[in-house]
Amino acid sequence: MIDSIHHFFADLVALGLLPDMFNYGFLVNAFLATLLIGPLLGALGTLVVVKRLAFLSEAVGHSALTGVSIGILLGEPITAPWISLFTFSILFALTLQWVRGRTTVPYDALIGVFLAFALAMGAALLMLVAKQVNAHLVEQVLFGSVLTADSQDLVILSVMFVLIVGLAFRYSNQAILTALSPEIAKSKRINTQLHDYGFVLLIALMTVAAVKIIGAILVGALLLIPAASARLIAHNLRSMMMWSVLIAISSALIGVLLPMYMQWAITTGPAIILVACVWFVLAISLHSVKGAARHGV
Amino acid sequence: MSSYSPTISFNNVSVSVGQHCLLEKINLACPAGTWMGIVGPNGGGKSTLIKALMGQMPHKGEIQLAWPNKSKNSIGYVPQIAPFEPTLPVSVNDYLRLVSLNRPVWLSYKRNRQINEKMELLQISQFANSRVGALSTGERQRVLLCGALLSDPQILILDEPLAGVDKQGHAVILDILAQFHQQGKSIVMVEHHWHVIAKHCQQVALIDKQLKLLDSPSVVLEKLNQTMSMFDLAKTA
Repeated sequence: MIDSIHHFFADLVALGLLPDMFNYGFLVNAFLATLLIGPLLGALGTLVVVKRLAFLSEAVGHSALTGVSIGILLGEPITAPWISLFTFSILFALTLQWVRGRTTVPYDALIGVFLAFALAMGAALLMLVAKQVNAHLVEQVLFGSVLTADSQDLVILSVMFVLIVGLAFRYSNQAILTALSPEIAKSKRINTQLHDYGFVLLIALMTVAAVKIIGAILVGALLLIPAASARLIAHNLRSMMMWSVLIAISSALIGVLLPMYMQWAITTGPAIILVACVWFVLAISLHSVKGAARHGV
Repeated sequence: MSSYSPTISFNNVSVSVGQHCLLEKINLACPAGTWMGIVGPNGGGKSTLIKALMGQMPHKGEIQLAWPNKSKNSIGYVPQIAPFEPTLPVSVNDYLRLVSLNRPVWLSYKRNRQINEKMELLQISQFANSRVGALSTGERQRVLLCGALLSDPQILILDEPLAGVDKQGHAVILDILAQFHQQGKSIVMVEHHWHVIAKHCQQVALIDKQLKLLDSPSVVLEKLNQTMSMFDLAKTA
């Protein structure tokens, strides 16, 4: 199936509708992957912002470093250590949530400790791994790569896409209410604890699914920046969600395609996040202008 | 109109946080259809009692809500502190959709008769597109009460619903609560305004770590007058 998609893009290039770079299969893969990642990160990001858990996505993102390293050390394929990656990130997120329910340490401090652990453990193991494999791989894990998305990744991302969209249709109102006011949510007999676990689990799954394109260091940023920008310009939850998804998709697409088109030697993760930061600056500016207009300055 | 309000009973209920005892061996019963006021000094455990009743605070002893009809067991709840940041783009319409509809809030809004009727009842239709966090305290309380009423509850549990509400808001909220009670439904309400208690409640529980008094407002007031100085009374009411 992936071959027929590649042929389809090649035909569009032949017709002059797309630039020549779409003749490369890896670029088409990266393009499709970003189309799947963008909406999911943008939508989930709104919950991250409403819950004020920006650091959580950073911490879980950094846990991917450790997951990749453990996978390689255990002999998993170097470019796809999926089992260790999924297992470690999910365990990391669930442990964080479990400890949260059993300690009086404030949540932000707890996340800070877990973030430091994830970074330290990941860095230590990555140095160990770097002696065994090409150092270029370390760069890919840290900052993402346009070259690495293959058909297996697209299948995983498609499954994630269907799963999260399905959950969003059924449970998003409950999830948002839980984020806004757990007390009111509980009075509606919503299982807020299950929602909290579900939330960190989805963050972990999305992080792992997006890590190849964006990289472990910056994957958390694409959960945060689009939603934080959208919050500044939206007037209700629907427009916040729409803006967040739009900003995430456009940042991911521009970040993947522009460096390729311009032949800049920039890895995809930083490129995507830099575009998202441009959006953030635009959102802040628009917010300031609107605020000044409202106050008649 | 038939009511399916529950009978509430607290049997030896105690709540502690660490070594600190917040409530001690509370025994009280609230018959179905009663409007009960909870009064007491600040820090006396009124909100703790409400949270324990809502199942949001671990407690010892037994709290029972006996529902006459298990399929009609909806509770309307308004917490003490409205949890909305002014900068968060959650409109009044968003909030009411979140608490009452399954259709995702990120899909386009289809006009909902029930939401519109309740908004008109609470006189908040003009705020439909305003951010909840940007409303005044009184307006926000009316929004939260509207959300609580949307699930067609058989009982309302309210933690200081009139705190920070202006005079007009007072009248609107009390009018709605009186209508709700006239349908034979129960209300349990933490309240500081004694004139509200005296006018509306059938039963008052005075809580100060323990249950100090439980009776009709006039009897409770009389006993308070006998046992407490005016200074203490002012602190309580």
